[in-house]
This record gives sequence, structure tokens and C-alpha cells, in this order.
Amino acid sequence: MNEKKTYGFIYLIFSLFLTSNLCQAQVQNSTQTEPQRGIQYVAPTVYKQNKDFKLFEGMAIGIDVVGAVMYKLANYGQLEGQLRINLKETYFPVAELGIGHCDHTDDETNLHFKTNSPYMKIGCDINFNKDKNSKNRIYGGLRYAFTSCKFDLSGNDQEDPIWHTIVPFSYRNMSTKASWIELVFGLEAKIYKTFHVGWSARYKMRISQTTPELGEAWYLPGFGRNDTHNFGATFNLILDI
Amino acid sequence: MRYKTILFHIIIWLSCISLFESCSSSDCPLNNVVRCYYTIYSSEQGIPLAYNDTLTILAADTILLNQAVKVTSFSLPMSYALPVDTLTFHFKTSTGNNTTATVCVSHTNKAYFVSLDCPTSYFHNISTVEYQTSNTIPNIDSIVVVKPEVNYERKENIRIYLSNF
Repeated sequence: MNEKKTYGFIYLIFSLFLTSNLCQAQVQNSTQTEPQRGIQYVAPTVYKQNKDFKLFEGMAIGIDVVGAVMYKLANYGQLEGQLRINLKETYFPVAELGIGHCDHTDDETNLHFKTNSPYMKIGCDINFNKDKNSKNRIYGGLRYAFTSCKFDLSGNDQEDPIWHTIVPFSYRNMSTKASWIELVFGLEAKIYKTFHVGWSARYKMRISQTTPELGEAWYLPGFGRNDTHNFGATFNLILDI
Repeated sequence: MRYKTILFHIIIWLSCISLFESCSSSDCPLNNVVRCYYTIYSSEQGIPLAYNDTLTILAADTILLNQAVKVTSFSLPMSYALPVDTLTFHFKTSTGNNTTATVCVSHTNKAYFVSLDCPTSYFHNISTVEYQTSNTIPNIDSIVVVKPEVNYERKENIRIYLSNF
């Protein structure tokens, strides 16, 4: 199982690497001009010289579309917004706030898990795109994430097979806290003036968790299905402010 | 150009989602039986010994161990909700001696949850074990709780020291 996830992640990184190369190739093609007659000087690089960016280039807000759609339509998802600072078009300190939601019943066991709790992520992205004038970004980053959630767990009453006692299975307001690290890789494209779209793939490693006596929470807001590690993806709409 | 870029991003993103979805699996433990493990010891020698004659154990109206012969260790279920399990031990020797002992195992119970797709279990914590026996042969000399936590682990929980067998 873990090997499958590892191979999947390697495959993902490889595909993203190819994607970034393709994007760079597109940028290169777009900067070439039509040949002119006569003796010409060919510049040693096809990239335009990056202008001198200020330390504080502005701020941006964004939302995760997929999480919001899953929040409304699927058994679990999250409403997530982000606030990001642009430093020299290279460093992007970011804070992400969200509400994770899960309301899921297993068809076979009839166990029902429900939570609706907030989470927070802080970290920084680094833009690796050489052509920073284009405002298209290829970035990698790191997040520290934290959630403190309460969940309900219920199921069918259980009958003791020997002593024949009926035991109700219903637990409310179970409390748990968890923190994890996220490795982020993403692409972002400028669509119109201050409007960008971007997606990111994330590898999440849980680093701590408080477990109630009943057992681990099945779902952690912001993390997804609870495990030692997990994958995630976002599709963001971003607006420079 | 812009539309191609957006389309390209969406396709890559969807392929990522399909990759993640294919990795989901169940984490249910393979050993999900919760039982209390007993071992019979000789009180004179202090070592585990097989009880060569017949042992039957009942709880409520259910036979938990039926005429076991040459038994050294055995495991019994515990109640999900009751605070005390009352077990009746019937020792029957080949010479015709019958001994009945009542063993009361006091314990706490707690539900244990792993995942939505796994059945739930009940773990227990043994607080005390009391017994009543007639002074016949064989006789329960003492009972020791070795490991009070009763869970998925298949480890010895209770030692029953028998004398004169």
C-alpha cells in the first residue's frame, strides 16, 4: 500500500517536472520574434531580463474550487481560502484557513462519521520560474498545518453474543488535535490582469495527533482521510489585491 | 494560448485526482478478535502445566469451553457492557472427583474504532479477579492478573494456580 503511494508520488513528481518544462517551452516560443533582414545580434538568452522587483510586490487572496465543490456535493471536502504575500516575485509567505466537513456513512458497517471543524496552514512558496516578468509561476513550498476538531461517531446497537446485553454505539463531541507538514508543488498562470488560476499537488505527513479513547478520527479537516501520510490537490482562483 | 494553458492545467489536475483515488485501501487489522487469555499453572511447581482431566467453563447459559482435555491455556470472550463476568469452572477428574469454582472477573469496557469500513471492537481492563471454590481436588490456589489490558494482543492475561492435580 505504502509502496503504491510512493510510486504514485514519484510518477506525479515526474509528470509535473515534464509539465514545467512544457510551460517553459511555451514561454520561450512566445518571446521569439520574427527574423529580420541584415546583420543581427542574437541575445545569449531568450528570456527577457527580469525587472527589479520590489521587496513587497503585493498581496493576493484565493479560494480552492475543488474543495468547495466537494464540500457541497461529496461526503467530505473543505472550504478553503488563502492570503498570500508576494516578496520580490520569488517568495510567497502564505496562510490558508479552511473548514473541513465530513458526513459519511459506510454502506457495509453502517458506521457514521461526522465533523465540521476549522484548520489552518502557514508556510511559504518559492517561484522557480526564471521568467518572472510573465507572472506565470512554477512553485514549490512547505506548509505547517494544524486542526482541532470535534467529531461524532455512531452506528448500530450491538448485542453481546454471550451475555446478550444490548450496547448502544453513539459517541458525540469526541475531541482530537492533529498537525502535519505539507510539501507543495504547483503551477500558476496569469489569466487576466490581476486574476490567476493555479493548481497544486500536496504530499502530507502527519507529525502529531491526540487520539481519544475511542480511536483515531476517520477524517481530519484539511488533511483528508486520516493516515500517517496522504496526498491532496487544489485548484485555486487567485486575485492580486 | 491562455485557453490552452487552462485546459492543460485541468487535464493534469484531473490525472492527479485519478492517481490519488487509485491508492485508497482498507486499514482493518487482520487480527480483530478480543479475548482474555488464561494459563493454568501448578501452584507447587510454579510452572505452566497441562490439566490432564476435563475442564468445562460456562458463562450465563453459554458453554465457553466444552470438556477440554490436557489444556494448559485457553481464551474466553468478555462481556461488552457488564462490569463483572461470572464464570463457572467445572473440573472433572478421571477418578470421578468433581470440583466447581466460580470466578468473577471485574473489568471496564471501552469501544474501539479503527475505520468506518472495519467492525468495531470492545477492549477491556481487568481490575480484580475473585473466586470461590470447594476444598476438593483439584483446587484453585490463587489467581494472578498478569496483563490487565485485554485487546487484540494474544498475550497471557490471567494465571490460574491449581493445587493437588
